Amino acid sequence: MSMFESIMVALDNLRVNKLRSFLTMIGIVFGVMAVVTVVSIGQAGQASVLSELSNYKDGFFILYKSVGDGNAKAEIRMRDLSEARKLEGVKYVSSTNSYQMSEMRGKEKLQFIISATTSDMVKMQKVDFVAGRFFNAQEQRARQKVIVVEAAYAEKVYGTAERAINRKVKLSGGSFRIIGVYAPQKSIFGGVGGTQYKAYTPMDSMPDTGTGTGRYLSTLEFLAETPEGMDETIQELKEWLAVRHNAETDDFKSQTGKEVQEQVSSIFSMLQLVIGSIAGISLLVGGIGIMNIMLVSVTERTREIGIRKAIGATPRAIKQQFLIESVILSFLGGTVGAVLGLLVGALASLVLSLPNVVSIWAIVLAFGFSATVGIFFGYYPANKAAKLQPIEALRYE
Amino acid sequence: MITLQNIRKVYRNGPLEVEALSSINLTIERGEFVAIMGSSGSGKSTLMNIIGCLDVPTSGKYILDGEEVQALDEGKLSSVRNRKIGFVFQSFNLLGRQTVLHNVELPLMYGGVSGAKRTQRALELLDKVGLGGRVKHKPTELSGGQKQRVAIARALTMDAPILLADEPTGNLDSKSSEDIMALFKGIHEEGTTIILVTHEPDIAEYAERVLWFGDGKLLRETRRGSAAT
Repeated sequence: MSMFESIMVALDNLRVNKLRSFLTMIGIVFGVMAVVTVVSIGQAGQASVLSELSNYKDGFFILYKSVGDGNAKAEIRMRDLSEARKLEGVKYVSSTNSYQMSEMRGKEKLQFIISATTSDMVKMQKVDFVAGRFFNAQEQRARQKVIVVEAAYAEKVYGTAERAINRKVKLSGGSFRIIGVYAPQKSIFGGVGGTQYKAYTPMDSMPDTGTGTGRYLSTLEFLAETPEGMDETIQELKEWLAVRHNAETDDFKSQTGKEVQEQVSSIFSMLQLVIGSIAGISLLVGGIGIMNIMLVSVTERTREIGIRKAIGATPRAIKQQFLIESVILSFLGGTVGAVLGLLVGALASLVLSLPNVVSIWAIVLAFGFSATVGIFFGYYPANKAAKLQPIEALRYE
Repeated sequence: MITLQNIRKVYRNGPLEVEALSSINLTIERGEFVAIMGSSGSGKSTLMNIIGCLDVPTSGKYILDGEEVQALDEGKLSSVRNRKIGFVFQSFNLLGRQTVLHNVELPLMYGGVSGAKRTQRALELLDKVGLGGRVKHKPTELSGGQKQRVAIARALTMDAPILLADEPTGNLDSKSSEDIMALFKGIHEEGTTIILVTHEPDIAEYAERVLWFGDGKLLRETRRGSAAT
């Protein structure tokens, strides 16, 4: 009996028991759907965070003093920033403080997250300008109250990015003139806690920051001269800071853009693995459902098996017939589940405003797994059918 | 062509042993028309199932066409059932959900005969048994006599040299029984060996040789035109 004929016989049997086949399939449908959904959303989230991180240019890293039992003398001051700029291996250096501020527009309160930084920052990160420009070194030194806002704010308040230029943002820290509008990467955390607009201002333009060269900074941001020389530069910078502040090299920590990317990737992979495994359990349960139904089917059709054997069906042909039935069940279930999973994933991406990632390997995994489930859980019933003695099967009532 | 040597069949039911066949010795030649007669429980059906390779003897030797059947594995036995033996049952044993045509095609399918050739052969045989107009019907839509004719067509599809019939007219009225027996007669005249189990003497009349069974033993045999041996 050819494979094609076996498939036709199997389909025919499944058609006769439509409702039962459908109910059996549902277990696999939900199992595969869960796995595909989890993996799709996970990959979308990962892609989103990684694309956000990819704004940092190659060779980007930060230095900060270690917290906890570190040497109290370990510190970073404003004058370190200006001195570090002159060091070998350092292309740019900057520092950023974050402020949460708000602006009243009529009755509406608009929330901002403001990065107060240096003019070099724009050379270290990719910033997509829609209109205008970043502030320059002179504006920074002159403590000018200028601001670069994100496009969503400009569009909300002024309709277009162009119209927002030279308009004022009245923050609690004073009135800032808009000189640039940029489009930030969509963030997975963007919607958390209501809309917060991002903006950049010169670091000295913010109130209560002090201006002296002796004031403290929490971190220093660097772009290495070359990505290859980054590790060496980091080590030299730590030693340099340690000497300047009479501290130990270990009192200063570093984190490179690459390290962050790797951490994020591994966290997302772990999450996907854990949740995916839990979802996989439902696939297992679905598989047991298939086995159960196939066992019922074999018992029910004992006489049919006897007839087929009496007219010359080999044990192999019988086994194949039942195995194909269970594989078709799980494969159909897998197909429906994969489609539903992708739809749910796409929907979730839309709601969470993530990139819609169609994960090929999630689909391959789901199909491979459901086919394996079909073969694994179908094998025992099929083998049972194949081993029936013809005369006993024929006598079965 | 069929040789049975010291065939014994014992059914075990817990501590109880029931001897369905005890020490049967029998030879059936190619082209014979043999009837096996006996009351129920005489072991005639058990013998039939052993000859048809559906059941295995507890001990003894069964040689079919020079081949010792016990030595064959399940795969080879399937092939024997497919190619050498056509089986007709009292209760027809057709697949109720499949069409008449599909039922007749089934042995050809397991025999590896493909597509158009298979359908052609099945239609030929359905014509021969007088059911050419019913090929798309389901067995459930047919009368008992018609069902048995489908079963006979199915038994003939592989041109098996041996046709085994276990009470083929047991569920039929006398008119249908006559029709079926006429079919068997024709099939025998074409050269097929027929072994038929029955307990009706007028059905046994069709056979050239009658084996009388009782209590698991071959009691006696008669040949048409000669006295009992």
